[in-house]
Amino acid sequence: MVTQQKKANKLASASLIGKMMLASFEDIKRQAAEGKKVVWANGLPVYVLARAADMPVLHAEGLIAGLAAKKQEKPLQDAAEAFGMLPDACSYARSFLGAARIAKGDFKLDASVNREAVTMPKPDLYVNSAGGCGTGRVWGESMAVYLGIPVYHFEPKFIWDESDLEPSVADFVEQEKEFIQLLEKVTGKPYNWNRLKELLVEVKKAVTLRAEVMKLCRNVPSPASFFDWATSIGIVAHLIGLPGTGHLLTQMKKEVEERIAKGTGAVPVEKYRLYWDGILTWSNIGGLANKFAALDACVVVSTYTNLVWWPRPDMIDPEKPLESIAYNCCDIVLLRNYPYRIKALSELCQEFSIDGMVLSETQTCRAFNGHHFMLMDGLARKLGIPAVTINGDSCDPRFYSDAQVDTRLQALLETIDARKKAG
Amino acid sequence: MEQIMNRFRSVVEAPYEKLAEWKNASKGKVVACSPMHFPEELIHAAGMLPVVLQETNEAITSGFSHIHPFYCGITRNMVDIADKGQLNFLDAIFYSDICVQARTATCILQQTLPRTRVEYMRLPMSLNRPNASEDTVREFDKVKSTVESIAGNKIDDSALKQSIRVYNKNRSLLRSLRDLRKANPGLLAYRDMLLIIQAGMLMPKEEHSELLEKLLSRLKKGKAASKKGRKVLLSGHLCQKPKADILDLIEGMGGIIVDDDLYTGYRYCALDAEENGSPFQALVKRYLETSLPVPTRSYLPVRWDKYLVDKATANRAQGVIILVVKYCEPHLFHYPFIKEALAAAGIPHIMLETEHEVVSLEGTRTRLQAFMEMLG
Amino acid sequence: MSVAVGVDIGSLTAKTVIVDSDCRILAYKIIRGKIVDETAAIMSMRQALNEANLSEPDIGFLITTGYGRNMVNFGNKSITEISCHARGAHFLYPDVRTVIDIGGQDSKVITLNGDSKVINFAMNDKCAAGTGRFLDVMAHALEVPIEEMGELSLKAESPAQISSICTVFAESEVISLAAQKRSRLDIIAGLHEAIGRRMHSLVNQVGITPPIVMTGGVAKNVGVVCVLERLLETEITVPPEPQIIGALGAALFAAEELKGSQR
Repeated sequence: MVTQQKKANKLASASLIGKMMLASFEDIKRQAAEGKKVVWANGLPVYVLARAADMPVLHAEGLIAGLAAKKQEKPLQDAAEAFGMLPDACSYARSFLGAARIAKGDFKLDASVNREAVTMPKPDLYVNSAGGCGTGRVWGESMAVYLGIPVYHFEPKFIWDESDLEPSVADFVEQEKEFIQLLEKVTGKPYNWNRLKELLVEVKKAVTLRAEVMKLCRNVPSPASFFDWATSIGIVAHLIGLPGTGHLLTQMKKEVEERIAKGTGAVPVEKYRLYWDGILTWSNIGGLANKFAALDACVVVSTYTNLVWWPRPDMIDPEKPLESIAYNCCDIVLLRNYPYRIKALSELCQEFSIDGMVLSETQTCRAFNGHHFMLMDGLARKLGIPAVTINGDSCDPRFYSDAQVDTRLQALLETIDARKKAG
Repeated sequence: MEQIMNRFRSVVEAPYEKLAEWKNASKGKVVACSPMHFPEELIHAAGMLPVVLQETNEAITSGFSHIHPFYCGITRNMVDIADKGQLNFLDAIFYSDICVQARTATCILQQTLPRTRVEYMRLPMSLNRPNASEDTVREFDKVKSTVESIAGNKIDDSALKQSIRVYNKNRSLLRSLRDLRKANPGLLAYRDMLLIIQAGMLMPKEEHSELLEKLLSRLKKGKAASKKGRKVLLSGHLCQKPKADILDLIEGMGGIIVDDDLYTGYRYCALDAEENGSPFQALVKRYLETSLPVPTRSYLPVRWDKYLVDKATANRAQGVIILVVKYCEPHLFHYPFIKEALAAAGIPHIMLETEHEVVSLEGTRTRLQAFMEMLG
Repeated sequence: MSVAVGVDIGSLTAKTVIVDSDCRILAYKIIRGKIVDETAAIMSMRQALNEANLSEPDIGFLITTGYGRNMVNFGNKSITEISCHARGAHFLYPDVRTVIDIGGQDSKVITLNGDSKVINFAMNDKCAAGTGRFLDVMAHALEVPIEEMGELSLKAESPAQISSICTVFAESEVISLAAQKRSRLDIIAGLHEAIGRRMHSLVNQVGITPPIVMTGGVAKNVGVVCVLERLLETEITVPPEPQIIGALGAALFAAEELKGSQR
């Protein structure tokens, strides 16, 4: 039985992100009220281009993940279902479509719903830059058609083999140029290239610093956990290019270094170091963080937090903003073929001294879990790292069952123990 | 006619077995492609047999150890039969970037079929992009080179032109079949019509056309009793053929299927490639200027919802039966708009989720019967 | 005397309603049987006839409905339970515009117009969650008589969060919560919330148009009715015998046929 006495030792600095996210949503509302053109976006952070055009940007995953973590996602999903969306479809997408319906005033909210949290200003432009799946396209198109606004679809090509990367980057640069033309059309102003370069300077600082701090989790015990990086993902996602992220990262680095000095871990007792592959189960993030802590397990690293957001800080050159963004949207592990993925994950596991893997089988997000069977085969068996699957979903809590997760996690840890004993 | 139908049935019921036999006997090469967008004519012009991957009826077993249950039926089926060795005879498989399920299946197949060449075609998805044409040319060129290397010979323009003619002829015959049946629904059960079209994806086109011509002349002579019932339009199933059980249920309870937009129906034979000028450019043009309501591409002349309303109206359909393959996200995202458009046009519809395995047939029967009762 | 008979052959019960040519209900019977049981169906029909002092030759027209409607060897015609529930509910409550039916093995939401004609419907029959079966399984796991579940759910202070998508998942959660000494009332309330949420989803597919009538065996569960009233923000009417509404609708359709043939 899982005891809940031990709790996750969350990074105090990472917890500040919640307020920053809420403040940014309020800021979008304020800017919309002032007449600025609003952008809604899903996927990879190419929408930073819109920020340079002084347009407030609402990142789907940023809004929805936050709502799901606070168990406030239901009205959005109800709104989408009432429109005819089936629960098998990507829950991020459904939720955002629900948000669009609410923004348009097409769905009556129950009296008990926190209206402020779920009502965002209607956008003037939609940008889809889902990197890992074709679902982003139909998602973006639905949003645009529903809202009656233009949409731009970024399509980073899947890297079937290594030779595909450079052409993909080159084409992505062209797409960015097309998008910028659209921004100029929507705003009626020439594009502010200087502002973009300034933003990229900040972006480079932020993502480089974050990568540095995350590397500190190689320490045993790990000073921070995947849950800290996940809750603060907004720094490199929704909040990218906005003021305050650099400062927050500096605080996180300080806190992490202090913990290392004191030997303080992200969990009270670190007996097991785990890898989380797949999308996070946002609806249960708090509970999961404590669940692992109670089991003396620290989830040290994950694909989502370590390999998806700005994975190529080395390629960020503020003087070449379009190429910088292109590399960071094209060379992500989700756009890579499976052998490459397995290799990247293997390296991460070895770097962070991983004992076991948790594979999150999100029911409605197929982009992140297609390689799981191969992972179990290629990684778990080859590196002797046992893996376990848990069922759930990114932000639809109906697919998650706590009791099942408990059983499976305990089984994983027992397997790790048995293997250690066997030597 | 029964002999012809039996030939088609034998091809469809055990397709990969039959194709393996064909390969053995002819010593030819067989190259498979996923449904949608792939220019089969290129494979044909290289002297190989093109095959469009289609579902078999067997239950998924060992495939479960490679792919999750929340993927669509055809991808799970392909992974499953590949694991069972049924696709080992293929010289190559080309999949295309139509959805995340297809992408996953391609990656898995590449790993589970180490001796088979598995390739992934990535065409531009926003058809209005300035470089869409250039991008399509580049990708088709890549595919052409790959096909040539598998075949061991080059594809020249005259061979490609000839292949386009062969394919155009076959599509024209299929359209004649559909028109014939439309004028006289009692002539052919819908399940048989879709079977005929699907058979053409799994056998040499020349043979299929020859048999089709014979069939058409028999059908033209035939006089079936006029059918009374409720006219319905069938929509959905972007890759795989709907199960015969469902089609039989619809027709069995008085539904007259006046038309469809299924892949194994309308879509497969709708678009020809131009026979004049550069054959390669003809294939590029057919892709870029598609008039089909393809949910996996953007900036089309018409969206699927409007297309369906127009099609239902033109056919005087009393209702629309929408078959959504479970987990087919391109369809899932279009469905609410289709639902809204049909409601606005006052056209009743029913949406049925379908799966690889025929489950809950009684439930489907009840739903369809209730729908027919609704139509009055 | 020629009467119209409706027989609803469900998964676990067979129901018969007999009406006369003026649509007056003469008798009804509910028999619990095996899965889609023809014997139980015939028994319910004969017992209903007996009660009305009639016999089989008095049957002018018989319509079967329900899951087993095509699996029995009697009856003049079969009509789906969707049309029959709409018809039956409308007969009792002419203003009704939405019928929610939660049976043993399936659940449905039906919208209808003022003439009792079905406009739209949504069904859940592939999954036990959201059906009577869900509550049966949980009542068994908690060792609580099924008839008491509804009342008990109203006494909880803080309903537990339980999966609404899968009965097997939910059962594991119930066991786990019970092992953690969570109050049984909270668990039971949580289960009712789960079934309510599931039905809410189904209702969303067709849209809510009050007034709403609830039919089927689970309508007798006051806990489910309360949860639904809260989630849908509207009152729900439950007929005195919610289980016979399908059979009633079938009987009314049969009466129509009878009237038509008598002209």
